[in-house]
Amino acid sequence: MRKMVGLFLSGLLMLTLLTGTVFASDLLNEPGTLPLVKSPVKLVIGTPAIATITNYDQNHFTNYLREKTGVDIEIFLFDGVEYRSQLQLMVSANEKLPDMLWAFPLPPAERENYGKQGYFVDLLPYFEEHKLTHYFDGEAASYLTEDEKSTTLSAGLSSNGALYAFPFWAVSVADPWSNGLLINNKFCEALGMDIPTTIDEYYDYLVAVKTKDPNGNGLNDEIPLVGFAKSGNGDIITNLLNSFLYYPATWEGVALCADDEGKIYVPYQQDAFREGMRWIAKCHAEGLISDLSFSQDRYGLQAMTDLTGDAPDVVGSAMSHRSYMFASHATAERRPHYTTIGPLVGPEGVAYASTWKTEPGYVNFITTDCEHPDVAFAVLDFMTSAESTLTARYGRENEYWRYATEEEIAGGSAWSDLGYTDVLYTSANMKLAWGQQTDEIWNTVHITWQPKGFTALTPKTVYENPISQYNYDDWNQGVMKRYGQAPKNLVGSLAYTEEEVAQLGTSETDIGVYVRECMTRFVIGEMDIEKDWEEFQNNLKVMGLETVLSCAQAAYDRAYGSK
Amino acid sequence: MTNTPLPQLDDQRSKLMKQVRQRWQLYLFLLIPVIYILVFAYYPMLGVQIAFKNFQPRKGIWGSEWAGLVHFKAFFSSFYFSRTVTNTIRLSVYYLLVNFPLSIIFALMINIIVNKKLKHTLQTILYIPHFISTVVLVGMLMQILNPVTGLYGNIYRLFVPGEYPPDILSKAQPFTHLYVWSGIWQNLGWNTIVYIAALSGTDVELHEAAQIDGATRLQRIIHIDFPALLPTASIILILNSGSIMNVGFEKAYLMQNSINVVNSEVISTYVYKVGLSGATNQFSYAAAVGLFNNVINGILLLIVNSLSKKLSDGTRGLF
Repeated sequence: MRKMVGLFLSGLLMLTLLTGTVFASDLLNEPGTLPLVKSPVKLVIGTPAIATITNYDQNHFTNYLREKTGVDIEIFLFDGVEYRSQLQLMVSANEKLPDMLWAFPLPPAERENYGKQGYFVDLLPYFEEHKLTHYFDGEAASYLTEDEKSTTLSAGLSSNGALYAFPFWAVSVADPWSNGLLINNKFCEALGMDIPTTIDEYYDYLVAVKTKDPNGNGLNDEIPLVGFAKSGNGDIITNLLNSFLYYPATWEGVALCADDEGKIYVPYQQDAFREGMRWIAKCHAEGLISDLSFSQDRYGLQAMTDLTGDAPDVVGSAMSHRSYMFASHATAERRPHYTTIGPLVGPEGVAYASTWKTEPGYVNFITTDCEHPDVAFAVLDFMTSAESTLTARYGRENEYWRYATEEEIAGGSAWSDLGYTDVLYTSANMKLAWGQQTDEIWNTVHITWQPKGFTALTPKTVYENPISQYNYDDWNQGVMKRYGQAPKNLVGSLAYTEEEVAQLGTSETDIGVYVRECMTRFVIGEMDIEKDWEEFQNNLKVMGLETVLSCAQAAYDRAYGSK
Repeated sequence: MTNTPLPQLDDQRSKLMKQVRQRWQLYLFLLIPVIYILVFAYYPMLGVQIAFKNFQPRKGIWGSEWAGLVHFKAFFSSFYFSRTVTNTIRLSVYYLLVNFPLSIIFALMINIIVNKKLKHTLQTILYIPHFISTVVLVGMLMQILNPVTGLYGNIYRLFVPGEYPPDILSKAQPFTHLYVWSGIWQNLGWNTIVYIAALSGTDVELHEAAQIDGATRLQRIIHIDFPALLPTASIILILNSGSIMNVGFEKAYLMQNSINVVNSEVISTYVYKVGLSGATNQFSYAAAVGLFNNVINGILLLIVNSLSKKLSDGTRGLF
């Protein structure tokens, strides 16, 4: 009798084991229904700890996900700075990895490496099957342009054709067009000049600022042009060069560009680059560019522009993002003194804005240690929905953001000049969690689905504070002038094969550092643009520029097809 | 044929065994630190082999494939090799040449202060900058030397109104001097501690005898204090020369900008930049560069040590 009961029980146990494995995919409810799972499933999510988040486990967004998806989420925090090394150590010690890694930036080569070695799940089959992509194919896709739809998956493919990460877009309409000049309009008034639109008018303005004492204090303390270092926003050189040829926004990168036929080139081998450098060097030689632009950080610039009371303005024009010039750009006293301008038209009629190729982030992974990859994928799919995105970006509904009112929808989108008509939500004049110490959100855009088409769904904002209104209007008109002023083909991140990585070695770093150094030295006059140009080009060849170009061409052709 | 060990060795061995048996508690005490060093210092040294391999985290240290000297070749043949090595050595040697005599002189100066309270207060004030972190120090440097908004700029404008002083931070040449002298300001007080401790051990009777013989203060310093410092100073010099290739990453990186990069690109900042470019072999590359650094350091250490022994007739050497 005992034996029979024992046999029966063990048989029952075996059956339950079987049910665990055989009916795994039956854990999920019908696509489109919430919660996602029939019974609670536990998923461990690893993410680098962001310093401003006070609580990840009882964070509002985490609880929101738990409630909506029905998944029991456990957070595993990685070190906020050393997360890459931490992951490598976990892997080499054969530790069990979390089921998913979120907001985990890895360079494409490293991502491919982990994928090839079997640590990340290849997600391409899920996208191709369309079974678990309810929100991705529906709501999320409706905000994408045709171009973006084709890049969403293809830009993340590794050189072996696998997609090891889940794409998430995070591009505001204004972001890629935030590089450029702000001109001191009070100085323009004092000098009786219009806001410059061409490079020659700008030169005249700079000379006038230097010589005619526009701030009227009798002292020669005006600084015609200043920027800041180590950032594309404050980079005087690459931004001014865009009036001569296109130069992408990068500080020490190789600056790969593609012409209309898809052929890869680099701007610093072109004659137009030389012309541009001559012009900038001439300005510096005449004392029109402050040397601080090459050594200070944005706070140095801020100390010069964010003035109050009796302190006279000294900056004639600043190369910056509006928010770097002032501690609080929406309320700073001097903000109305500066006007954002579009690209200056060069002598040959060239007027580009220094920008970069917008791509989704490929920083969310499902590891092969995950026992329920289907459920994990479904959670990521849910996060591409509008509601999840808004909760992750702002906080809870009606406190930090709300859906737009009928009136606001009728008033049209803030970006209607670009053809956007719909309005969905707004966060203006509501509580703010982004960038603050908070347990409301995760303070990262990598878990939100915000392509341009989504971020454009905000209504025109009306501010009570006139400075805030000026700040908003001025910035928008500047962005509008720069919008789209870039070549047809931009080069984004490229996926190299192992052989190509071995060929490249340290060439990319060497070239990037060298170009930045030489550009600076050409401008300040330590290197002569006429005499030292040959040496500059030769050194680039010695560092392997040809190899870099050929590897880049191969990778580009693989991703976008040779034209 | 029987194998009879030499009576000498046999004697020694049995002596040792006798000692161990008699004082086994002491040897037991010794056992734990020895195991600690073997496990945490010697065993990890075997990991340096990744400098000759293509280290893959999944395969681990022992399983990764051998790659020979490929990383060393990559480093030696890279465009910036000569610049980084030159900058590293220049910064280190400059700092060593300045720090070494200054610490000694300072220690001697502090030592002759009679008022005990003044002496101790002065010492405390002098070594407080040591506790300022590198980031704060560089931040202070940047703010003070800013020609528009900094103390330097404001004082200059008191004398030359309306004009901005030359920007020190945006020039290549001053970088080396700024790096070394800010380091001196920060660490001088701390470095004198060891020397002051050595000096306080000098015999008071020697000083009294010298005073009776009519020696001036300066003569007393040269003939009594200075020789008392020499053993400590030579050991510290030998140890410092063993870290010439190790210019810290933080300070150089923070003070670096695109104008002074000619002088500020040191080995550690260059390896950092290469590592960030995404190649997953950065562990191997960094290990190869580190091994190169340490081999040079080791050679220098041995050279300085043997020099020191030669100059002092065998009495002053580390080993």
